[in-house]
Amino acid sequence: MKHFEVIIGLEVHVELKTRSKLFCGCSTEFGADPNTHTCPVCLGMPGVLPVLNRQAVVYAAKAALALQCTIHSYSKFDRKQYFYPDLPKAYQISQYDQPLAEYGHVAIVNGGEVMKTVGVRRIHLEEDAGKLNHLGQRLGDAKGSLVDLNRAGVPLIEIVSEPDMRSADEARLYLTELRNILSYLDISDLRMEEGSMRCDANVSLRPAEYVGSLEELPRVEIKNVNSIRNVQRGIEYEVARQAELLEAGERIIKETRGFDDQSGRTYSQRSKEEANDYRYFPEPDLPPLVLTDAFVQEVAGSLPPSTMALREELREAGVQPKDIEVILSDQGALTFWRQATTLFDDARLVTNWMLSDLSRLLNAHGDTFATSPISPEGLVELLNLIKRGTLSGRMAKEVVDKMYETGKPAEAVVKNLGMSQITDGEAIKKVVEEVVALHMPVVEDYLSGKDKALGFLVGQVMKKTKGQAKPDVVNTTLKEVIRAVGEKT
Amino acid sequence: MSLSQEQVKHVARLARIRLESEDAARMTVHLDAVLEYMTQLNELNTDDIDPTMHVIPLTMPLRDDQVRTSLPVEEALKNAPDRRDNMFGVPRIMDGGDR
Repeated sequence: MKHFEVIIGLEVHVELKTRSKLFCGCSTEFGADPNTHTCPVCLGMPGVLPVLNRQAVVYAAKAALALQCTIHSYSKFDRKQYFYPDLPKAYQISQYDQPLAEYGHVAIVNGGEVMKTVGVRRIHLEEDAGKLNHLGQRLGDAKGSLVDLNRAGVPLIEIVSEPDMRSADEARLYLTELRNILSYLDISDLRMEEGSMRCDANVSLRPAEYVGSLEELPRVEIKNVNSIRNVQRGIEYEVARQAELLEAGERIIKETRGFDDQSGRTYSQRSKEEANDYRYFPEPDLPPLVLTDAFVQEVAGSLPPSTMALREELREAGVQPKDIEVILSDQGALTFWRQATTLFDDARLVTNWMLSDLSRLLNAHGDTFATSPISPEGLVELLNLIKRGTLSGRMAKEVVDKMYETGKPAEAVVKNLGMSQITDGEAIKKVVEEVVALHMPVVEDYLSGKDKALGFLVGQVMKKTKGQAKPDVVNTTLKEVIRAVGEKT
Repeated sequence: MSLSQEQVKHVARLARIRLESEDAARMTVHLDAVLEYMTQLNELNTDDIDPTMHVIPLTMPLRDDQVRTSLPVEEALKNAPDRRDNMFGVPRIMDGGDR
């Protein structure tokens, strides 16, 4: 088998959550009736002038700084020209040779350790296109299409990585960390399924004997994949497909491919036009964007703690690396965790309950930590009952289900269910004596050396107490009572 | 300057202009002459001059992020040759575009 090195670069488009569009005052709200958020500017009418949204610049600068980029004090906008029905002006206002920011990087983390650093080549601002609805199953056999321009002009940042990733898994880790970083900046909804975060993956294989530049290596672009998992699947498929072609002595064609979720395969869409076919030229309607040091300093001062700092906070509290990543990937979970651990000093127990039982309930009901019907205080109340010995771990699982269903606090649920662990030695002894009297033959078995017989007796005591007796107390009490019986006989 | 007929056809295709063969030949001659004329600019020494990105000495004006009333759907769709469900109807999209 030939040896190939996998070369992956990712282009990620992120919709910024400004209230209004990039160059006009139309609303950016998702899900409105078709074409109700349009005006002469975003419809591409002649004679209109775009005016840049300040908030979009601030959000883009936040992303740039969080991704360790250098923000250019001088950048400009350009027209990228192509014909497509979702683009009413027949050009997209983007940034070509002088983008807002360059030279950043993202550290990707695996098993609690920084695995590698992926370069961020550039970040630029641009406008989104409209949305096409095809009349037919697929574009290929559609009879026509319907255009909704509500999304046309919504601000995007495009984040272009260096071709630094060497496996589908590294691509997944990069995207996950990118999403983590951006989520704490609160600049986008980052919903891949709704298209507010979109990823194109460039994949090529470099044969061991290849000596040319990466740019000249034929690469395939997988377009618009709608989840991180599917980006990984698409890349895995593409690596296998290209390796097979190369091994058979065939050439890889530079092209754009789609990803089919059902089959897990990529399929050819069209051969890619050369970049210079877009005939970029400076946008005459927009003067250069000049960002002062003071502006950049102000944005830098508004940044939240980095994801690396958050990891450190969780690690110091004793959270395991795998759990750290789960909590970090959900801002609501981190907020929940912080509130709960302020009230309860065993951070591990909080983490375990959050990520096992509470997560299970949230997933089953389509809720999240941010919308959880059980508050951090509510969970802590339950944990205190466990800690005091009122509830066993098993009973607590039943209680948490009821808390979730009824919205009642732990104490009330325990009272309603008539549930609480019997720790009172005298009460348990009474039940134990009853059980021993009822099952003398079994007691004799135990006395004659059949240790397993004890399990049956424990079971009988638990049955009589509806599982509320504290197991270790039952065990010791049983042994005591039986020993007393043995001495008598 | 010597423009090839292939280049002219390429540019025409990018601009979605249909050129018959004789037109392409004629256009090549004309365009070549225009470009030839422009080459006079190359005689100027521009070593010390920054590229002009914009002709007006102005930096980017910014606006606040405020939503303004959009057009009524009827207005937005007024010029549409075809429409359905308050959307612009377009013919079948053929290969060759981008995105």
